[in-house]
Amino acid sequence: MRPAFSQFLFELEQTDRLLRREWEDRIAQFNPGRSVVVFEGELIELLFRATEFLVEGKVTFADELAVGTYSGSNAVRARVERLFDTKLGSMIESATQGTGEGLRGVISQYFDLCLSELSRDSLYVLIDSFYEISYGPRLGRDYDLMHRDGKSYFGSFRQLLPKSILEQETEYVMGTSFVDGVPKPRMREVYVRHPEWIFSNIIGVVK
Amino acid sequence: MTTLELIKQELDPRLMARRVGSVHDDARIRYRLRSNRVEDFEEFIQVLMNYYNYHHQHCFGSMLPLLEASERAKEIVERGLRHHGGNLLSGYEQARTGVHGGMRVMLDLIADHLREEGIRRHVNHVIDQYVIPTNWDEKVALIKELLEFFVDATIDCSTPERYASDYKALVEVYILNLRRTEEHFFRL
Repeated sequence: MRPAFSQFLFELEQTDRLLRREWEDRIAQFNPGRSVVVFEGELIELLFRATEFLVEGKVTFADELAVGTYSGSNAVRARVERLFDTKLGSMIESATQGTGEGLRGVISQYFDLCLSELSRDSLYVLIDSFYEISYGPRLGRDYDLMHRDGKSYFGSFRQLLPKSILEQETEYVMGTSFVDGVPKPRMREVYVRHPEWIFSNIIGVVK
Repeated sequence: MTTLELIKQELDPRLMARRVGSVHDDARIRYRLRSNRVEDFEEFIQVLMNYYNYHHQHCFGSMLPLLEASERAKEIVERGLRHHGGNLLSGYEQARTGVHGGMRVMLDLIADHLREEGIRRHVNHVIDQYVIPTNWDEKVALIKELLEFFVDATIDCSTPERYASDYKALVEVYILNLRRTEEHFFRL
């Protein structure tokens, strides 16, 4: 049986809140153990440990070259480059010399990015599970079924969205997009792109 | 070395970080929160006050009376959150729910504020060491040095006396912009 749409929104908000709370707790507990690093490699190593602590809740001293994982050192390096982009040089200066916002500021910005990425990814997983529960495991493989059966949900969703979001996100509200070769409802993008809307409307919807 | 060069040397960002910034960073990094959330407003204020006093003792070697510490901490958080459209109560809500950084962000605000204050005081102290605020001739001489960088600019370089009373602000802006230029070089 399909869960009610309002119930789904409620659970989405609750789960996201709990996950965020857990991650925030971990960030607060993370101890870098130093106020500066000596060189760039040490910074990447520290951020690798930070990511592991954020994701796992502990530092396992696992193989940092593990590829394809969120906390692998390649992923960490790519994230650092993406986050600091042209400011990479001054970020390394801050982390090694304590200038600007210092190492603490660098770690804080890094955690902010991780948090938004993790939250976005977990929302995707939650939404996809909801669709799978609602429409069965075939959903991911059957474009037509999803499109046909999904109409009532898309309709409910559209009715709930404020005009401002609908205007911004026309292309995301209906239809499907392919993610890693699997069709996914585009409306999941709207949830992830506008979490503040879900969270500020949730109480009204459930009531 | 000219006075301006000496001031520039003293206000080198790496030197300032070692002399002022690092002790504040060290204080914040060493402090572990027992929980990123609080139960009620009373606990919220208690945690802010404890952290303020801990940070103060770590950096300056002494604590403040509890009332003073708690009021200063509240003011810093209120002011810090106002930049993002919040206030002390929204900070409490963040700390109660543990989202948007929870209590950690409140302590970061206090640490950052005390660090910035420390740096501002250090800059003031350095300038005062090289130019006595009551000595008009020293102020004029410093401005003369500064104006040498602007001979082709549209500002009036022939009468340094005109700017002498604003020597601190001018030196600070000059050094700040040098740092910004340096940062641009780092990006290349």
